[in-house]
Amino acid sequence: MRRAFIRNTGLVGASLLLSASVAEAHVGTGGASGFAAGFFHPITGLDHVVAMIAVGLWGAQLGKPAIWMLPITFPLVMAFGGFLGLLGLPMPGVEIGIALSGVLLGATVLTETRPPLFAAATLVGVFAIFHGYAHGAELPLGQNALLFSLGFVIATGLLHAVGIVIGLLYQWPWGKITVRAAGGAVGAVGAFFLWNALA
Amino acid sequence: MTKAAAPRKNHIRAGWASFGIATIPVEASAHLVNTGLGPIYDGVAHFAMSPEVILPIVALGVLAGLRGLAHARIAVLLLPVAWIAFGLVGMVLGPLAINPAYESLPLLILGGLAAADIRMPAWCVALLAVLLGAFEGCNFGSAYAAGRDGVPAVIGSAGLVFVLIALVSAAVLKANWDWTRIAMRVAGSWTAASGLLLLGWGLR
Repeated sequence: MRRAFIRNTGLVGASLLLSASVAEAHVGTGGASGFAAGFFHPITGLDHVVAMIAVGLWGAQLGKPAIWMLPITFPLVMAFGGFLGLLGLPMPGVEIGIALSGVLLGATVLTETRPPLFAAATLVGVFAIFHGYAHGAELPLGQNALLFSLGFVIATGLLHAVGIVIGLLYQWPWGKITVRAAGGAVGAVGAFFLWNALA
Repeated sequence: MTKAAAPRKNHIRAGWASFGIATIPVEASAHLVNTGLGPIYDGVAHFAMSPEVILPIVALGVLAGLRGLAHARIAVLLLPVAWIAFGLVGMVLGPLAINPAYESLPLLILGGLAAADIRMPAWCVALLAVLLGAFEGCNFGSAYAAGRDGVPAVIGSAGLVFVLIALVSAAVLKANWDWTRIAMRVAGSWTAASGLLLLGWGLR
């Protein structure tokens, strides 16, 4: 009698452990990690970081309206590149394009090049497609798509802001030298990555 | 009954009992938030934890605020009304399986318009507010189709929609300096860029 009671109690206990629990599909788990993954994606690649900062530096050097036009243009066109990468459309020479962006954008800041606004926006836009494509093709599956995208775009925008803040030094004589030197550093990093991409 | 048959019968009973317990249906709460404070607060919390819905409303607030007082007033008035009306429609329609690609469209359109700072008459903003309220409200309401307390949840969420659009558009209206307006346009650009990436995720 006692053994039967213990056995039955054990069976009921095991059944309760295996019974259906509350379904919690899509209740927002992993949102914070998705944002963090997107936020850290652009800032953990030095080739991307220097190019984004160079866009801000160049915008600040060119003054209004480029100071805000370039940072508005870049995320939008970069997102278009990311869109192409997400769809898996082929784009050859992405790494070379990214490295070239560092070299050329750094060189424009170093040499204080002042092309027409349309030409500057076009140059930045073309390079933005390469950067966006590389990110889009590497985006990990299983993340919260919106929060990942938001973190990714905000990080890119903040890197431009870093470049703009450094570029604001341009109004002082010693600041001009500092900004141009920063452009030279960006170009050197870009040249290093270009060497690796071509090797 | 023999002594050998009794334990066998007990086993069968225990087996049926276990099967019965294992298949007890439990309420599924997919896409719903349960605060324990009642359905109105459940709706408020559900909305507050849905960035894919909050972001287009912020973008509409930025767009309406950039365009001026009349545009902001009409957006603040129409968006919550459309939200409630189409939330109820969504409850009637039942659960909707919407591809994230469609969810990206409000972000792309509203963020793009805010970034471009395009001039438009007030009725255009009114139309955008109604379309946004219809799409997001219907989607929100459809999540509560199986719930018993959908109407209070939709009304509760509409309250927060009103507060959000009113605060954002008022803050943008007060942004009189050049750089603050530019910051708003940059926010619009970032919203549109996020929408474009979301579209890529949806079509992937």
